[in-house]
Amino acid sequence: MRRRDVVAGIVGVGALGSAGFTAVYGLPTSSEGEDRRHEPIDLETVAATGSDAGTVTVPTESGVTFVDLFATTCDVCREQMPTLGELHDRYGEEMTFVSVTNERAQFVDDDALAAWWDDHDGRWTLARDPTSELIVHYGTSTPTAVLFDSAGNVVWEDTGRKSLEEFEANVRPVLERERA
Amino acid sequence: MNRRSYLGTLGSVGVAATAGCLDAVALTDDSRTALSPPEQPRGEPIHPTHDDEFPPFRLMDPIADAEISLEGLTGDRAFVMTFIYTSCTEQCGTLVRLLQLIQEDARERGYGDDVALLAMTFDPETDGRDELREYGELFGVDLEAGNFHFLRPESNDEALEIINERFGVPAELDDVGDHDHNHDDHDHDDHNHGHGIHYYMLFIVNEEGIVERSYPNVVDSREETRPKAIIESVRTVVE
Repeated sequence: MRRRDVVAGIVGVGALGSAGFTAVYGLPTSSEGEDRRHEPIDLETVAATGSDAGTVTVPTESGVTFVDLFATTCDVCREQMPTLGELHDRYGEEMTFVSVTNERAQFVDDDALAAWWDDHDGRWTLARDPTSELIVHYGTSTPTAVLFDSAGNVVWEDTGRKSLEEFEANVRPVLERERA
Repeated sequence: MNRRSYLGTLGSVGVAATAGCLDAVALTDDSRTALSPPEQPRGEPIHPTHDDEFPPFRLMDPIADAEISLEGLTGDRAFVMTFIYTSCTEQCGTLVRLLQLIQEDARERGYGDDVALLAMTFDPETDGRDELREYGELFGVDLEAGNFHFLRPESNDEALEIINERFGVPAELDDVGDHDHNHDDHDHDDHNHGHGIHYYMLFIVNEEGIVERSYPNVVDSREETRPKAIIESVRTVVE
């Protein structure tokens, strides 16, 4: 049965305009409600300003999680650090705020990572995903922002440079919804 | 819009759709592929794309000590192929993770014997059996499952010739032998600032040796290259 997707294509066409195919996040699941959900993954955190060595669970089991996927070699990521700092200062208390790189320690060790972090005024949780366990689902283009609600659903995801206003426009409604 | 490939099926099945018998599509279609052509073909790529025959190869899996070839796979199982080197400072690991996710899905859904997952190194002079084994284990691959194979040409020259000339996938190693990286020395370009130049290609090839999908820069954030979407495509090809 090789032509299954064609059949799916016909059936799916009607739905494309409205719901489309929403099952794009995380691993395949059966029901649509779960399709945007990502199973929590434990990431190793790095000792640096505002960040303790240990682990962080992404998405967290409770509450909103904001993830900044970055690389120390990425110019836009560096240039965006002040904006992320602003975002963190405004909303960091209300959600888990974490920057994640999948650069491996043999190429960028913890000291180099912490130094980069300090150079660019990082002051929140800094984590590694050296085996791309999280990052494989969101693409490795950096920077990429991923926002999870308290149920672990991806509610916003975007790659590229963002202004503070753009971040806020996506973060604020989610936080307000969660508060209600 | 997600799942663009579904839109692409419209043109080819319009007649069948009006006939109102969906099952007839599967029975009357004589296409060589399970997946319909991608909606947005990208120019005239030099790598094989949808409906092309995959170029022949015959390479060693140094861990299983087995020879893997197109000939051997054809008629037996579909395969997914990508290209890596273990000292890669960039996203090679993500490619291996992607294969691992497919392997996991295959085990869960019971199609593990219908697909081979192939990761060819193009730095075999660095990547021996032990390095490849360690790399696979790092990314959670089940190397004993019998469906995952690292492929190792005998020399870097041979590897680069195969990947560039035969598979049409641009790849280069510019300072082989010097894996002592200092990131500050590299241009801070968004891509290709490791010591290799790499296209992050992934092919899905069906049991008949016909390319179903080729995904350049598969680790970028695109709907069609989500693990979810790729796994869906693999399932469609093998089931």
